[in-house]
Amino acid sequence: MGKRYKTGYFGRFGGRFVPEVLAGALSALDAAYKQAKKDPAFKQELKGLLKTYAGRPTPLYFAKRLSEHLGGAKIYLKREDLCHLGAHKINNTLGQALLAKKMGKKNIIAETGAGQHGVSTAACAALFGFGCKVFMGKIDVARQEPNVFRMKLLGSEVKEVETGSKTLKDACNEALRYWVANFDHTHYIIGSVVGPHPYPLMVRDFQSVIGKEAKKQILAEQGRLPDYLVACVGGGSNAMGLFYPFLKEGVSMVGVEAAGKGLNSGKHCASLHKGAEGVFQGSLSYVLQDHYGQICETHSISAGLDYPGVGPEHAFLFDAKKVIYKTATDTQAIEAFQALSYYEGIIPALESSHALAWAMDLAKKESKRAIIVVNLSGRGDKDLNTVMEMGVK
Amino acid sequence: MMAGTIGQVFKKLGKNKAFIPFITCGYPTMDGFEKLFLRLADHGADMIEVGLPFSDPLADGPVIQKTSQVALQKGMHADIMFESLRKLGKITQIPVVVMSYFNPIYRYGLKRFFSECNRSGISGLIVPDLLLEEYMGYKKFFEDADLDNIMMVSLTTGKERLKQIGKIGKGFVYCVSVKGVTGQTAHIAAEIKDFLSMVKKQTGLYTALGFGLSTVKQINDIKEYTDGIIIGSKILSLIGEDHFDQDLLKVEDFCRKITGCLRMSP
Repeated sequence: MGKRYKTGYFGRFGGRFVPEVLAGALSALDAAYKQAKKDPAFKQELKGLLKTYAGRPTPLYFAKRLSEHLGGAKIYLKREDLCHLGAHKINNTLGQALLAKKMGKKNIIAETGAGQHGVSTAACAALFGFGCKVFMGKIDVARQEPNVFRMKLLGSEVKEVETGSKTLKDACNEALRYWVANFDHTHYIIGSVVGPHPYPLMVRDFQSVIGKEAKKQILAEQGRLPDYLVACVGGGSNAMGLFYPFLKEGVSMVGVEAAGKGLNSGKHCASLHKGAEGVFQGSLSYVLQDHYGQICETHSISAGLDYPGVGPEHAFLFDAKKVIYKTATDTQAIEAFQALSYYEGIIPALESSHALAWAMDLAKKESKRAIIVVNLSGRGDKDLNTVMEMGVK
Repeated sequence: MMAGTIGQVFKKLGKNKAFIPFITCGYPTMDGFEKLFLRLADHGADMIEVGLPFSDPLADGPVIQKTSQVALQKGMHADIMFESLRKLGKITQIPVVVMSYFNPIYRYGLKRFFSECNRSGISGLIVPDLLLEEYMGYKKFFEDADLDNIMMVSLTTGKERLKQIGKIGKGFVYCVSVKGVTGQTAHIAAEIKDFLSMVKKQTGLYTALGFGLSTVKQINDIKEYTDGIIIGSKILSLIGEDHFDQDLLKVEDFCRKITGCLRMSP
């Protein structure tokens, strides 16, 4: 609708749609981040932490048995599941926690759905000595009990959110409301490439270590870039992290959204496929909403994808057709979850299983020369209860 | 009843202060909303701020969140609000300003939303999540609409920004009294007095103070620094569905106390 000339936008998506009281806090964060980005000491410190605390670089692993079983392309896995705490989330939380320290903040807060980002933030709070509150919907608290315990063990307070649908989006609302009243001493670590500017850009930058490593690793191993990159997309941070360093390389990139019980069931969270343009939690992007702009409730077997919005840069890449977006259902994700466990001895997170499901289909159709890199964004230990409850043996 | 109406209200009040209640459209029921609206108009409100409910209201505390949720569950949406306000406009002449988060407006289509506002006799619009910078992208739609664009400012808004807001705001400036969300707070920051004076000086607009206000004492403390007072959560917390008629009496009583103190200005 309106014309866009400003920073903070990816094409016509993004921006900063928040109450006026946060305008100053976001500008200060933007300025601090720009400065940190140019500061060699900041970069050095982050690099050190990523290596010694998060365990980077993570391996790029050739899934030989799975590839042979499928009979087509070679599937490589970028092993973010081997990061400290079992997911890619730590790349971003370390970056933002370090930034919070530079900004002189005493406390950090975060929202969490499945609990991975919450645990990651709680660990950073312990590492840096910050006070920490993690906002989590009441329903998620009940279904992700072990992660609630982990956060408490790491010294964080878990704030149970009872408003709205009592899940991730409401946890995010409540964290934003808390931040509105407490930004003087508190930094809000948003866990994905969503929210008001500068978050989508900053989180993408912190996550792009995934793509940078993968590029070097595949060149070293195969002497060429891959034909495809595949990653799951909820808010979209692991996908942006993998894709961003490849955007100008002519590699086909595929983001996989969660189709839940089917794209036409109304029980999914495929914001790009079924959403409409809208402003949600601080930025303009594609949003699952009704005819009058009320945000819809969503469903996915994977709590980490269960979100009605998607990062604005994904909306831009989708419209510009620079990235292809596909979907995988709950059932397809479970099949991929089982296949990787069976053929490779790796239990993937249900989020990553969506990417894997689509990549496995693709591999069957592609020649043996083709190379597919899948972002294995997290490990599946947290999902065992969910999968067992589905009756999977 | 359109652009400019709000300025007239403040002008007529002279040294008295405007009483601006906020109520959620469709709460506790559609019928209850209309009754509450008329009761407020009869009991000293100078204009009424009507909230169009949104599923994810970032700037609102528990009371307004709950009223929004109740209204949405009962099927509230923009078209019902417009129709209701047209109906109410035939009964009372009290000016109405609508508060809506940006997404319901964006989804409806800005041009269409504004034209419906005009058709429904709405005088002004408040969009709590549309910052100055984002407003500039939609400026033309706002300028073409026959509506006062009411901008919000907070204790963190600096001088230069206030000046810019003064240039695009109309009717009044909505001054947020707390660093926080809507609701009842025990303490209004001491710096609020200086802040209100600065807003007035830098924007040259009428000011109204809102968020966190609920008691006569609070209002007596700050009334000389502002042109109007907005009260939402306190009024809505008095209202429920079960004893609605009795609750209306409580609201009347509250209105009497508030207007009593707003009209006593020397």
